[in-house]
Amino acid sequence: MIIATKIIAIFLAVMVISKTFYDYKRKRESLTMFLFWTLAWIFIAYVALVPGIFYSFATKMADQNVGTGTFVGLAFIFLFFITYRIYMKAHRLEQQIRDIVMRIGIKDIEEKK
Amino acid sequence: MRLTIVIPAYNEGKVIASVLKSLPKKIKGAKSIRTIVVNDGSIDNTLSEAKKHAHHVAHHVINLGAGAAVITGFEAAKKIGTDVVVMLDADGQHNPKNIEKLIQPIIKQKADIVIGTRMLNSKGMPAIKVFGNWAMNVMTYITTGGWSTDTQSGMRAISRKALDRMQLQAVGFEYCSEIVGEARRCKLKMKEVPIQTIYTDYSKSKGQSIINAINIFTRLITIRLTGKK
Repeated sequence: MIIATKIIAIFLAVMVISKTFYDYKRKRESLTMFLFWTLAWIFIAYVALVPGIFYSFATKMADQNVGTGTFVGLAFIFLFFITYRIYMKAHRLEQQIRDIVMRIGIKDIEEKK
Repeated sequence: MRLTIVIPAYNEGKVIASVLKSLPKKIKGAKSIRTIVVNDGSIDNTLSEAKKHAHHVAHHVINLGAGAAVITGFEAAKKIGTDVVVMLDADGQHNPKNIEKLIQPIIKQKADIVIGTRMLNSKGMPAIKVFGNWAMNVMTYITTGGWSTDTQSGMRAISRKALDRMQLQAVGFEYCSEIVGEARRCKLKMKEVPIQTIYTDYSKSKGQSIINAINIFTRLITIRLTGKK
C-alpha cells in the first residue's frame, strides 16, 4: 500500500510538472506559476517518499507527538476548503461568461422604440 | 397583437431553412409575425442559413444550452417588442399550422402560457419517448409542483405578461420543466392544446436521450434548493 502511494504520488508529480512546463513553454502560464507548481509537487513527492520527515517536523513544531490522524484531518479540511473555493470561482465565472454571451447575442437586434 | 416566433437552434443547418420557410405568413389574430432564431454556438451552417431566412438572429458565440438559448430568445423578443411569443423546435418536428390554435387562448385572455401537448394524441411517438415524457412530467411535479401532460414539449405560446414575470435560470433542457414551475409560482394561467408532431428520422435522432432525464432531474432539484436569483 505504501509503495503504491509512493508510485501514484511520483506519477502525479511528473504529470503535473511536465504539464506546467509545457504550458510555460507555450506562454500559457507565467514563470511564477510554473515555479510554484513545480516546487509544490516536488514537496508532495518528497513527503510521499520520506513520510518520516513530516512527523519529525511536526513534533519539533508542536513540541509533542502528533498522530497520523491529525495530519489526515488537517489535509482533508485544507482540501475541502480549496475545493469549495475553486467550485465557487468556477461557478461565478461560468455565470459571468453566460451573461456576456447572452448579452452579446442580442446586441445587434434593434430595439423597438 | 405582435407575434414573435422564437426558434433555439444548435447544429440544425440541414433543416433550419425549411423550418423557417414553412412558417405561416399570416395568422388569425396576429398583426405582425417576426421570427427570431437563437443560434446556440452551432458549428455547422445554422447561423448563415438563419440569417438568410429569419427576421432576426441572436447568436451565442459558444454553446450554452437549450435553456440559455430560450432565455436569449425571450430577451430578444422583448427587445423588438412583442405581445406573444411562440417557441418552436428547430428540427422540424412541430407543425407550424398548430401556431394559430396555440395562440388563441392567449388572444382571448384565457391563458398566459399554452403548452402544445403531444401526449393527448401520442400516436406515432416511440414508446420509449412516451414513457420518458410521463416520467419527466412526474419529475417536474415533484420538483416544481407544476403539472402538464407534456412538460417537455418545445412548442409553447407565452404571453408578454408571463415573459415579464417569469425568472428563468435553467440553461439546459430543464428549462421546459422550469417554465411549468414558474407558471405555478407566478400564478399564471396555463392551458394545453393538442398538437401533431412530425416524426422524421432526423427529428427522432435530435430528441433528448433518456439518460439526460437524470441530468434534468438533478438540475431541477438544484434550482429548487438554491432558489431563484
